[in-house]
Amino acid sequence: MLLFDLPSSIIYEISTYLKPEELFFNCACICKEANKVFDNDHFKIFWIKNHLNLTLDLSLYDLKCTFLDINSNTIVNFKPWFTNGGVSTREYRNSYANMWKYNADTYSTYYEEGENLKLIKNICCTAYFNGKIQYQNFTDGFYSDVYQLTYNPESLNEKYNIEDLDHTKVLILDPLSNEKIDNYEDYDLKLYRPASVLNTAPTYKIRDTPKFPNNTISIVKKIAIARPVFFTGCVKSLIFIFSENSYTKNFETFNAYNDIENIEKAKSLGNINKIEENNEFEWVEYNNTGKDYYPVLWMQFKTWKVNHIVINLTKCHHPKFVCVKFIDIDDRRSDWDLEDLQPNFDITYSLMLGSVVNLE
Amino acid sequence: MSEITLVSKEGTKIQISSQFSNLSGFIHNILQDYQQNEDISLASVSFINLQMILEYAVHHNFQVPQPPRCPITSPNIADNVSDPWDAEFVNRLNEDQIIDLVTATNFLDMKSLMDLCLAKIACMFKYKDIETLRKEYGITEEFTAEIEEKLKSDFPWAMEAESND
Repeated sequence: MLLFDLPSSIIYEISTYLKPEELFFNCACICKEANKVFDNDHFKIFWIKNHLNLTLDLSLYDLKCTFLDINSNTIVNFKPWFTNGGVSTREYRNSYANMWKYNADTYSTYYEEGENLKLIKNICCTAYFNGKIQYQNFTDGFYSDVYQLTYNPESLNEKYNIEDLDHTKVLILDPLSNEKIDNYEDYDLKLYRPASVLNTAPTYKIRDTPKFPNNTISIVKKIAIARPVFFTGCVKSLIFIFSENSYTKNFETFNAYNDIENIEKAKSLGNINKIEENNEFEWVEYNNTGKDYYPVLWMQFKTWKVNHIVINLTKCHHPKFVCVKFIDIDDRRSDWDLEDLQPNFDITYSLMLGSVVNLE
Repeated sequence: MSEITLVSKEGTKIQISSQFSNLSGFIHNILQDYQQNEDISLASVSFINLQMILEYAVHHNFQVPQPPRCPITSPNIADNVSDPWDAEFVNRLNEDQIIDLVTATNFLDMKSLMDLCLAKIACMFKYKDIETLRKEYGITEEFTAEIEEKLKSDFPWAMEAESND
């Protein structure tokens, strides 16, 4: 084929327009010439690194695993560390640990003083990578049950035979247990999660020095963000800051990212990789690396119809530390006649999707 | 400086706006030390290819257009480009002509047109199974079964992965 007379660099370029199965199976089988081009380690390493925009030098085996993990939306485990967001030790459902897990339990930044404080904006939630992945299977759009309950409760009532649906309890629905729901003929939302679990205090431990594993690398290619629907202070704008070599609990380090409440301010941070603007959400991906702490992503929810998003970053990052800064909220207290409640931030989760590579 | 003179490998001269340097890295570099009225020799670019390249450049008003979708999502190039003219332009060419044009654009460091041609080549492979591809290219080698088996066992990662792009 004349095609294979082209320089290999150009054949590489053509390959970027095709999907892996088209390239490494169909194209590699056309003829011996094609097989020689596509079925070799050098080409595969180049292709995967290029496709993922990954700068790390990894073995072909690790690259294949990373590629598969990223496409399967594997959740990289970031352990909660310090926050100035106000953590309730009384309620499991307000636990800071929840925002780093794939579950339906919201992290709410209630303060325990009971005073009606003003909203403290720009709070920082930090976590560090611990070399593991979460076992849950992430399903894009898992929010559909809550969505259905919110926007189409009649159809769900019919399907699950739910009587006297209490809308304030819909978030008790556990998206990870969707399969179980079909087994319930009389599905009682209030009893679905045992009360004893709700009262369990958070179990994560705060270490002064994060325990970074030295034999693994976390790779982050996507970020998934979900916020609850029926809460009073659902997070509206947030920014993700990574570090590949440092960590800090001096939150003033991140003051440069305070009050970025609209996309124009987000753009003004500069060094932009990609921008997405539509009626549902807006986000800006930055191209900074190398600095101790660098912004990766700013995003803002624009409507109540969208409370869940998975953002595929242009390139892979391999952070050890992440700070998620909650910038502002959609204040919905008046929607629920709860003006007397103190304002707070509510978020279901912010997940890092990618892979963990074992270096041993 | 408003016009430059390009000379094809056959020796034919063509005059064009110096704005062509917006699209060609090669010309951009040449113009750094350019003496007025000096001919720019393009030893690897045929007159036919040069005409097509200039047609493309003029259509886009010497500005870099939006790149094709990557990866492509359809075997029809028109579905992967934002300007229908680009699809019509590249659909006029057969495979040999496209490969010739790729070589010329590679010489000129003209990424936008090269990307269009590469996306068009990729479209020739999109959604086609092995048998169709072999038939189209008239290939009769008898090694497919064993290669297929090897690839199936070697690349579950590629077979199972569903790109989210």
